[in-house]
Amino acid sequence: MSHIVSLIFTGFIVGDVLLLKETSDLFIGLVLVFYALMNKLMKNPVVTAIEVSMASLMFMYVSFLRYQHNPTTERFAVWTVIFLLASLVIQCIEFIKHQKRVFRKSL
Amino acid sequence: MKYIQIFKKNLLLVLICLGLAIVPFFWLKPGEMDIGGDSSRLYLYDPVNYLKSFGLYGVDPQGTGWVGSNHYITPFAFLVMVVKIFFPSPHIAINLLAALKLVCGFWFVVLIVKEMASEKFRRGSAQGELAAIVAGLFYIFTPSVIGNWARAILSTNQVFLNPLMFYLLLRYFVTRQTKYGLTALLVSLVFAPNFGLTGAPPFFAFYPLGFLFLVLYTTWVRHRPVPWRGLIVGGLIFAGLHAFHLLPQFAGLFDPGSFANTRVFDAKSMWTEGVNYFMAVLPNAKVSWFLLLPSYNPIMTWSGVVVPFIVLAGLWLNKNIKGKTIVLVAAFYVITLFLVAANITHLWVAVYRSLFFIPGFSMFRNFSGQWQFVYSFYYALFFGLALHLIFLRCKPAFRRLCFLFLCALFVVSAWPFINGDLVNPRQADTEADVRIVMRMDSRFEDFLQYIRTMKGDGKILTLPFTDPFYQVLHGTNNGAYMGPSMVSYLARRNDFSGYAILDPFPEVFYRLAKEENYVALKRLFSLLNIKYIFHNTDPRVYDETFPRFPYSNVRKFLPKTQKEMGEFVGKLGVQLVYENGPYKLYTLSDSEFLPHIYTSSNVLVYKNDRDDWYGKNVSFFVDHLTADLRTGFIEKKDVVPRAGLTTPAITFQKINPTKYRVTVEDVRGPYLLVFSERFNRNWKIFRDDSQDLSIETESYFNGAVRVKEQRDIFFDSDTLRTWREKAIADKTHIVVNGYANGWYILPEDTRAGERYNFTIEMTDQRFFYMGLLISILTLGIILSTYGFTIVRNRLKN
Repeated sequence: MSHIVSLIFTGFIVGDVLLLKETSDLFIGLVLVFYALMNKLMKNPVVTAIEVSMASLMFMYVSFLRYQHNPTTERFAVWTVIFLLASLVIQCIEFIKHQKRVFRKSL
Repeated sequence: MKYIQIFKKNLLLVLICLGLAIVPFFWLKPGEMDIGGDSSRLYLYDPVNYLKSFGLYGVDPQGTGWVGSNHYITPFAFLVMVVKIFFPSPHIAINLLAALKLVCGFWFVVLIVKEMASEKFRRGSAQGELAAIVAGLFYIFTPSVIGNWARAILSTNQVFLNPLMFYLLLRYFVTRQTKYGLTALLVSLVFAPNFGLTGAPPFFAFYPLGFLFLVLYTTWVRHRPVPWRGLIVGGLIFAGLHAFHLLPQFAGLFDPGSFANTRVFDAKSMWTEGVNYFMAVLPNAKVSWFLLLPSYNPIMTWSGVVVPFIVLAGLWLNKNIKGKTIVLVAAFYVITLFLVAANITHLWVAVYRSLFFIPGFSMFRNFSGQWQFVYSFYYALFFGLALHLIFLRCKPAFRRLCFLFLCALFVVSAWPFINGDLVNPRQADTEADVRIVMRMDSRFEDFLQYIRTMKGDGKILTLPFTDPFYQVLHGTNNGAYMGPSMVSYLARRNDFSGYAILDPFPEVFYRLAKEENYVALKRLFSLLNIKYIFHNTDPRVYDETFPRFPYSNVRKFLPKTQKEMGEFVGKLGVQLVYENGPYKLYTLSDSEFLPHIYTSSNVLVYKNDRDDWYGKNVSFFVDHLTADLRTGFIEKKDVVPRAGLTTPAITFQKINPTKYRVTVEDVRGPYLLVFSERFNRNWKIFRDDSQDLSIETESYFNGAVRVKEQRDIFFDSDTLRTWREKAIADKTHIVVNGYANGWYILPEDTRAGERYNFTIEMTDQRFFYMGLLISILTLGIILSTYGFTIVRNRLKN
């Protein structure tokens, strides 16, 4: 499951780096490291993705209260959305896997 | 007894609905109305005249008369007419619509959440009920719903139509009961503006995604087959019911060169109207704003985190329950979040940008505005389902406490809306206390009635002129109407009230006004068939009340005060024909007026040296002020031989805005017939041998052009006469005077001697007649079939 999540993020990041044509976005790297650490600790990619999303949301909220819309607020907002998306993709894959198991058993 | 039990069971829901229904009645004082805005809401004020002026005919009542399908308003205007039989005051009609929006928006979100929350749990449980009510309140008080209340355009009805239609379709998908599908179809008919090409952005933003959601929900969550057969039949009935406006709209869409066709299919237009606009507004989209949806109440800004936190907590709790519905709703929430915010990584922006090359996608160029309602809808469902999962874990006392806290939070956050501040804001760009809610001046109503009784020819120029296309009218309270001209939309008299309406001459008009070139101004008015000047001398609509919008540019070129404006009008050599309080109507001299239809006495060819309207205009009439008034100005490419051109006498009569009857006399050679409506290839002329005995009202150019009393016949035995006839002089239909229709007619085109009649007709109107017939038949068939089924079932039982 971690591979799938990593794949999603790799897609976003590679795409963004290619379009942005700059690699200085250290923040992306930091979030990835944070996510990898959490994933190791929790061993549950769904929960981890949601928790990272919640953490991102809180950072965004604090930044929003202080500055309204500024680049940092927007960056946290984007990461909240992406981790939320990741958690949903993983859940959907789990459903499909479950569906497959049920199908195999029925055969 | 059964109903009393239902009432008792849903007491809380009923009380909230009652509260929401009452709220709008405190916003406006008796007689006050909010009828302004870009598309106005004049249909709530006077639906009969609005329909006569706008809804029944495919020619715009403003300015030079753009051709377009306006018929979508017809069923809703009829509904308002029925409402006004019981409640004649437009004030009540406006309040009722507001109450309908609030109650239906709330109620159907509640019903949807309750329905979906029963995936794995008991239907109608207390947890589901409370979570659904909170979700309904959240939806109805989201910024997209309450922020678009004032000056609401027609498509804003999606506030309640989205949940209502979604619920009916959901029930149809799940139960397959015809009553749900049929009700959805009838609702769509009444609110047709949201289901045609005019309402395409809200329609395509909500329904394709909604349909996909319902298919997935039915098959994946409910494990039931999709009722494809019923959906296909429903689709056909939908097409039949909506034929009256869809047929003319599709005819326009696939008519090469039409506005709709260019906008949808032209590659250059996709780039300029779509991509460039999207990139320009992209920086305004803030993802954080859409996640938090901050309150309009400044003291409640902090509350924005509550809802996103609850939805994430709900997902987190779902790890054990493994409910599919919440995951499905969350997926659609994320999709709509991507679509509404757009600014989510450069990769997504690039993908989004490329979508604008799909024909028609440019309708979403103002993406945040178009997707916000859909986003709020899925956000409310996501929130409701997540809260339901949280409530399942809570003890009853804590659950009730949470419920009360959240209800109070939303009500306090939306307080500026509930107390009416957001509904009646100050007019834009003014320091004066002028609100958007106004009480109509009875003297202006008398003025409109006077305009309606005018039987002669001639359009109107409204002063003070505005930068966009508005008319400003101050009410008897501290409010003002700012919206499309009431003279056009309620009195069916083509009116030039602003820059956009005066196309293609606005820049020339400004320049001539600044130079005080009254001779050229009068020539410009004659080219546009302007005979009257309406001057609203009320200082509250111009002088210091609106220092900027909507007069920023106007003030640079036209007089800066009402007093100077009066002097400006006086210098045009006008004569006062009507006065009632500040409302004055002047007429220009007959000798300087060009009737709606005339035969050209001379032809002048102009070169389009500068590739813009301004250069084009300068090169003809301003440089030839001494030329005969009936000179036809044509572009070089449309050559009309000047030699041998004759000027036969004509008599014409307006039958309705899409049809004119003309008699030509003393025809001795070829002639150029000029028709001062905006050029459109579908204005066509047909031979006509009918007799007309109407009274002649006006005569110009020593009887060379005579005007008969204009009529307003929507349909009679003569309407279909031209349908099987071939248009004449179609190949020599050209643009004259920079915008108007002209036909160079040779004697062999008519083969009818020196005197004959013909009809000038906008053939697009035929699609409306055909569509209307299909719609009436479809409605009759489904109502009688369904009625028959109900009666048969009752008799059986």
